Amino acid sequence: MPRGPVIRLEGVGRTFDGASSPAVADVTFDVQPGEMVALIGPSGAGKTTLFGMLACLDRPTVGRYELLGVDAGIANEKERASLRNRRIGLLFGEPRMAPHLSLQHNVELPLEYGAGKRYRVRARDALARVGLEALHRARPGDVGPAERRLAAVARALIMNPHVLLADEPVGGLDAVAGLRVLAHLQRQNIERGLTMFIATQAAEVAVLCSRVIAIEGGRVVADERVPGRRLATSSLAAALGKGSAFASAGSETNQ
Amino acid sequence: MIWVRFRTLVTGVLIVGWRTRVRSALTLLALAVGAASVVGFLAVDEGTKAELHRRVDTLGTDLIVVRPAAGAVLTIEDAGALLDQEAGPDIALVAPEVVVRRTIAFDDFAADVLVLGTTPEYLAMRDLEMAGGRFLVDRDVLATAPVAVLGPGAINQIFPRALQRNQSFLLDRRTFAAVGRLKSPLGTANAEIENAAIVPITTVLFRLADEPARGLGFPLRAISIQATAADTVDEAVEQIASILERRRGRADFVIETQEGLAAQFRDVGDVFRALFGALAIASLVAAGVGVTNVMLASLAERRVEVGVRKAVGARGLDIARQFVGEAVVLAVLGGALGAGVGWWTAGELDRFTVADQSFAIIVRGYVPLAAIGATAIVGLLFGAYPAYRAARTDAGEALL
Repeated sequence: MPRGPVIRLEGVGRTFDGASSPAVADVTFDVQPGEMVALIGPSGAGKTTLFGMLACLDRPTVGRYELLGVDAGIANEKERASLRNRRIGLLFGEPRMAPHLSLQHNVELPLEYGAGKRYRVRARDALARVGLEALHRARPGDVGPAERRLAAVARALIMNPHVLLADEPVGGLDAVAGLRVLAHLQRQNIERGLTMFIATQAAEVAVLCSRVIAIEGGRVVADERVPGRRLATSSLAAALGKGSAFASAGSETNQ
Repeated sequence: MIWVRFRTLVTGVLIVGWRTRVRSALTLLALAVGAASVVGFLAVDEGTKAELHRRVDTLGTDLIVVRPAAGAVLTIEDAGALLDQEAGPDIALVAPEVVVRRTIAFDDFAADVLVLGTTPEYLAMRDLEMAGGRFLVDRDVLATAPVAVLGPGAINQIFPRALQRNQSFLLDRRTFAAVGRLKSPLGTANAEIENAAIVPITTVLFRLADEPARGLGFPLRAISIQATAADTVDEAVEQIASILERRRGRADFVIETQEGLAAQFRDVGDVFRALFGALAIASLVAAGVGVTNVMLASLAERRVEVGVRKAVGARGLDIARQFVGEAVVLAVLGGALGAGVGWWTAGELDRFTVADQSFAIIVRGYVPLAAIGATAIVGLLFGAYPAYRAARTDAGEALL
């Protein structure tokens, strides 16, 4: 992994065509390797707009966006496609599975645009890591929302990205299913040091992160480190009625 | 990744095909008709070319044939008049033809055959060759000799064993000598003499012809004429017309040239080519519109898939390739179907006859491939617009 910040934003803003005021304005922050950042804010605050730019699906109208040292804001389409393929894993508010393809084929999609070899083996591995190996032939519509979401996680991680970007990763899931997904994500961060950036309205997601950035009206209003974050596995255990309710983990030392 | 992954292509086509099954089926039908028409077009084209080639090869372009118009009678005296060197300087050879049907017999064998009465010139004019013995000579004609040259089919019918030189046999219950036999194959233009006996024209006029037509007034079937050269055919035709009109007082005859027959033949061929060509173009364009329609419908259904593909690293070009690839696979499926049906049909038909012209249907190996290639091009052209639209899909809009 290259040195320096994974994400560096300098005065980034985005004004949509025909809009009088910017959706996102003057956003400046860095995300360092290994951080797990929550971007919080009410709906309409500009979270999704910022997420779209970070994901290289949209471009800032002003400012500079560097991803792993590459000026992603002005990179050409080929370079941005390559960044999306090899550097970024993406999770959307909806799981965004191609409905006609099997879960396995959905998980294989990034491989088609990267070094596409051993599709089946790698996709089965990725599905196994989220506990879905038995469902590889199922269509997205045939499984529950939690399974769809976990398959999306498998897809986001199959290329071993440098950073995982998520937009409401547990939106629409019940508490237990949400915690299962979050536990998986948090484990990736803690055990593998995967950098994460999660846009969310949910406080229970934010408390699992090591840093929280708050945004309102398109501007950053707070940016704080979280000294002792909660472990998703403990919350999950609590939700399932086993173990203590709030196993607080001053325990990034767990790594 | 240089090309579209095979599995992606197959899955894509299956999705398109199933989701728009009625439209896809109609599109496949149009593609099949288009491909079959391409096969038809090329088969007729090849057949016409081969047939023309064979005819001109067999008879040469300098052969002219005069036939009586309906109800008129040409006689051997008309043929004689054409030998006038002053009035017809471009006429080289003249061979009058009379025909009757008679029975030939040898031993226990008998056959009803065509008896063609003509002159020695006939051999060279029809490009015939002898397998053994000799053809007619002038002395045979002057002597009304009872001699015959036999076609290979006629020989097989009454001489199942070897035929001796000058073997005598019965023709119309008279004794004739078989002085020669014609060499096989005779070629399509000479097909009628396969089973014929060729005798001196005078022998037919004075010995075989029935009363009361017997004699010099016996009606000729045709007069074959050879011009002095291929490029004097037009002059020879004019001279023939003027000689016969002067003699007969009216133009109650038809003059055929090989060029004219070939042109007529080509015309009929052209009609068929135009027909198949128009059908091919119309159905392929209709099929193309179907391909565009089906692929646009598919894109509308698969916006999320396209968005996801872009989000995980597909470039616009990758998406365009995928959609064009799917369109081409769809088109080639229809094309293969049509080419197969067309090929099979052409093989069954072999040849067909229109307006007295018999056409060979020749399907060469490249023909089905060309038909499938044509549909592939249709897929490429008409898949391009949906592919462009797909490539331009905004992943952010589709997903966020």
